[in-house]
Amino acid sequence: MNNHFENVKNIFIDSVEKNNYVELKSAVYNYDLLEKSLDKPLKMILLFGKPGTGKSMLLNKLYHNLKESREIFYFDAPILSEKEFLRRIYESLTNKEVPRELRVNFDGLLRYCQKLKGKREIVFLLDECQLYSEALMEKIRLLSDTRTVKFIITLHKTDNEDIIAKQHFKTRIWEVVELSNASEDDLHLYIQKKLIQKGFVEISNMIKKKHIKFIYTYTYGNFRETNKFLYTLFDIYEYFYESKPHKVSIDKFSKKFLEMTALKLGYIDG
Amino acid sequence: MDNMRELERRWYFYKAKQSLLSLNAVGLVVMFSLGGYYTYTKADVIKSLFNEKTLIAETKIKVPKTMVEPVLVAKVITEPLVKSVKATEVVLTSKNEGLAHATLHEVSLEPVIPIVDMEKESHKKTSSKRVYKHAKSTTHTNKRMVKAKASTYLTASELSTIRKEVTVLDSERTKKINLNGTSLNYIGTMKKKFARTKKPREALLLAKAFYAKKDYTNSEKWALTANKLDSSQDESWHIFAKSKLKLGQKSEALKILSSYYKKNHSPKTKALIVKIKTERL
Repeated sequence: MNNHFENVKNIFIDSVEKNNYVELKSAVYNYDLLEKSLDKPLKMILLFGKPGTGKSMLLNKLYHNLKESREIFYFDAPILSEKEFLRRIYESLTNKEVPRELRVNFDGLLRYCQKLKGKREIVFLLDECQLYSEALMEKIRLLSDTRTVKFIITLHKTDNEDIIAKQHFKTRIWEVVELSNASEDDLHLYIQKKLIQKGFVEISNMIKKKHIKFIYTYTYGNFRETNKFLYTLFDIYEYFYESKPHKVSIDKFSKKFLEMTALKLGYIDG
Repeated sequence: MDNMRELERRWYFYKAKQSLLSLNAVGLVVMFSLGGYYTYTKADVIKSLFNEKTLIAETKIKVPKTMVEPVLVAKVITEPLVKSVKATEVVLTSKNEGLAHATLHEVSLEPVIPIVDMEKESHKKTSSKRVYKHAKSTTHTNKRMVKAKASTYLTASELSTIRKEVTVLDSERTKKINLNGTSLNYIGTMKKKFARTKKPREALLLAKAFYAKKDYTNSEKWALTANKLDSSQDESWHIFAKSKLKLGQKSEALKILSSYYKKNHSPKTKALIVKIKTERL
C-alpha cells in the first residue's frame, strides 16, 4: 500500500487558492453579505477578523467568482510604496502600462476617476490593509469618494486596537463584515470537506467528534492553526507508516499521534 | 527522522507524567472518600468527643440510695407555669434513671417566659453538681431555681443594665466623614493618575467627569482615549457617541453606535440608539 499520508498532509498546506475553499455555513453567509454589499452604493467595505479566520480566502473566492462579470482587481499582497500603489491603480483602470521612469500624479488620477463617474464601477480588493500607511489609506479614501472606485479592504483585528475607532474609518465604512473562528461543528465539517474534496473519504471517516474536540482545544477553531495542526499530524502519520507501519491503524485515529502533534507544536509541555 | 524519535520520546515522558498526575488525583479522591465515609459512620463517636464534659458531669451525678422522695427538679421549674403536666410524668425514682432523663427532656420543651431575675442570676454561677446539691431538698430548690416572673415589666436594676449597654453601643457607632472634593480637583487628580498609569479606567472616568460637566469636547476626547486603550468597554463607546450627539453630530453618533452594536449586540447599546433616535437623551 502506498504511503498516501504525504498527499493528505499537503491538503493542509496554508494557501488561499480557490480550489481549497471550503463552503461552511458561516463562510457562505459572509460571502453573500459581501457580494450583496457590492451592489449597494457604498464606498468602502471592511472585512475584518483575527488572523487565520479566512479573510484572504474569502477575498480570493470573491475575486474569482466575479472577475468575469465585474471590473474587479485583487491586490493580494500589500503594496507599501505609494508610488507603486498609484501605478497599479492607474494600470488597472486604464489597462495601460506606465513606464518605469514616470510616476502617477494623484490629483490627475482623482480627476480621471471623477470623469468615469456613472460610466464605470471598478472594485479593488485590498488584502492586509493594516500594513498600509495612514497617508496611503487617506488616498484610498479620497479615491473612494469619487464613487467610481470601490474598495473592499481586509484588516487584522487585534486586541489592543479596534480599527472602527479610527477616525478616518468611522465615517467612510458603511459595511463591516466580521469573520470569527469556526465552532467545533464547523471545524469538523471543514476537515471532513477538505479530505473528501481530495478523495480521502476513509481518513475523513476515521476522524470522530472526540478528535475534533481535542484539536479545537488547542486551535480554538482558527483555520490557519487547524491547518498547521493537521499538516503536522499527517506528517507524523507519514513517518510512522514508513518506519513503523505496525503502529499505524487505518481504522481509527491515533490519540498518540494527536498528542505528539500538540507536543510538537508546543500546545502541551512534554 | 531523529526529530520524530525525539518527539516520540517526549511523548512517552508526557504520558508518564500524565499517569502520575492521574494516580495522584485518584489517590486524593480515595482519601477524601474514605475520610468522608469515616466521618459519616463515626459521627456519634466524634460528637461524643465534643460532649465529653457534659457526659462527665452527668456521670458525677449520683442519686443517693437513701433518698426516698423523688427529686422534683423539673417539676419545680415548671410547676407554676404548666399545671397540666401529670405528677406521674415528673416523678423520678432512683431506680429508673432512663425515665428520669426522658421526663426531664419532655419538661424542658414546655414554654418558659424568657425573663431572667438578674439579681438571682448573678449569684447563680454554679456547676451542674451544685445544682444537684440544691436539688436534694425541695425547699432549697424553690429558692434557687429561676422562676417565671408574674409580669413582663423590667425591674429597675434590669433597666439600668440595658441602658448601660445602649450607651456603650452609641459610643461605638461609626461617624460619617465628609470626603467631598471639587470636580476640578477630581479631574486634575485623575489626569495625573492617567498620566502615570495609562489605564483605560482612568480615561473613562475622566470622560464621564467631563460629560457630567457638559464639556463634551473633552468628554469625546477622553472617551476615544479610553476606547483606544480598551475597545471592549461599552461605556467608552456610549460616552463617545453621547458627546458627539451633544456636539450636534447626531448621525455620526448613531453610525458609531450602530457599527459597534453589529459587533457586540449589547442591549445597552441598542437602548442608547433608540434613545438617540427618539430624541429622549
